[in-house]
Amino acid sequence: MKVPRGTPRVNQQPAFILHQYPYRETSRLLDVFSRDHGRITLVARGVQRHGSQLRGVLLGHQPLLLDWFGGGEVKTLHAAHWQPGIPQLREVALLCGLYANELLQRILPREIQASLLFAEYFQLVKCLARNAGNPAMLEFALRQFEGQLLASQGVAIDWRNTAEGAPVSPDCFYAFSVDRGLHETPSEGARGQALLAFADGQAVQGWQMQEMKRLMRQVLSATLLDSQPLQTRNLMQEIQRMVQPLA
Amino acid sequence: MSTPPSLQSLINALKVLPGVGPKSAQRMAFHLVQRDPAGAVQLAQAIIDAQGKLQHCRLCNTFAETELCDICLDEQRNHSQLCVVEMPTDLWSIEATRAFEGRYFVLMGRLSPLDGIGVNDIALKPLLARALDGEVEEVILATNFTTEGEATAYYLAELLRARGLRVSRIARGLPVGGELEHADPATLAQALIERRDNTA
Repeated sequence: MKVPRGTPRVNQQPAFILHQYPYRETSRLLDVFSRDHGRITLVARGVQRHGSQLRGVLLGHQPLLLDWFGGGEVKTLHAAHWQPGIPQLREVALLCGLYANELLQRILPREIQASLLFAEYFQLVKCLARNAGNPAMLEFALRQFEGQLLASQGVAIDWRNTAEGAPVSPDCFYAFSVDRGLHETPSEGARGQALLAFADGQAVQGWQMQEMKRLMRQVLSATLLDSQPLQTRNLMQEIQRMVQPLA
Repeated sequence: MSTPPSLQSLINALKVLPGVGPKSAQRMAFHLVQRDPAGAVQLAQAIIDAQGKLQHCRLCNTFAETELCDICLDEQRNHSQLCVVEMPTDLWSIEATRAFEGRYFVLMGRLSPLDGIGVNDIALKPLLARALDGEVEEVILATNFTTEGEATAYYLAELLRARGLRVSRIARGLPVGGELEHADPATLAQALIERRDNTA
């Protein structure tokens, strides 16, 4: 591929593909999360052609090294190299990976470097691949990533103190809203015990995990998601709803 | 000078095709009216015919001109195996192998939550009706090995297993006649991870 002189180009950039869309007859548009350039859009020309070598490389949730060029909003993929080490995500781990990708697509602004979050996403994908048969571990990894994503966008929640500065008590209930931040509620919230365990990085499980999940959902919905539902969450809930009554 | 309305209308109509923008549509329209008027009439008639005659097979959901497609009408096929594919083109690919004698179900799509395509957008109810007809013993999931195809296979496997059906997934790995030296590394890695027990 001939590239005009002076065109910006990037080589061997660690990246993950968040999603891909068919584009024209034989190409695809890639929504990519790269280490040093943040979230970018690349066009992969000819990838839909019969026998394209790239098709077996442009995989979701797999670490890649990408070369691209171009200075516009959509850059052109020049080369892609698959990096070994992470099995492809399957079953519920795959849905967790899709959920993380949807969060990033909805929240991460384009072309803003987020190297720390990239490293955390890399860890998340590794964890999802290695704990595919351990739902509790998958959930914990997702909650941690949600916290890291929130922090990367300037929403750092202190799980040990309410927004008003009162220390979180293990036996009280807590909720989150835009106007009040983290606050105590009479009931129907997450118990302080769960918040404190999560803040300590303990692999919370069972009811604590369920309560943290609901609380994290409130935080994400109120801060970064503008109360718009997530499609992957709907799909996971649909699976639980359809499978459980018969299981 | 303005474009004659009928020519403009043809250009606009051609833009409904995937991957065809204004420039391509204009080129196609000029080709049809200028270079191949007979082909243009044939194309118009073929579109009208297809639109008028095609329907979804009542059992397998693929395109057919009758209530049931040829495969569903064929009593020689194995009724205990049901192969689920995303699109009719996938059914044709499997049929061309002559390796499968069971019957099919065509989803006409796949789950793709990141594109907003959820469980209500694929043919799930007719699939359940077909799989639970009392004759099907094994459902073979032959959706693509893409992120979306895998997610669809997982969802269907959970759904069908919960209803007591045996569910299998087509295998993936090295191509037939493939040499390890020339295999793409992601495929080779997955072939090792998904290796099968050969001791029996």
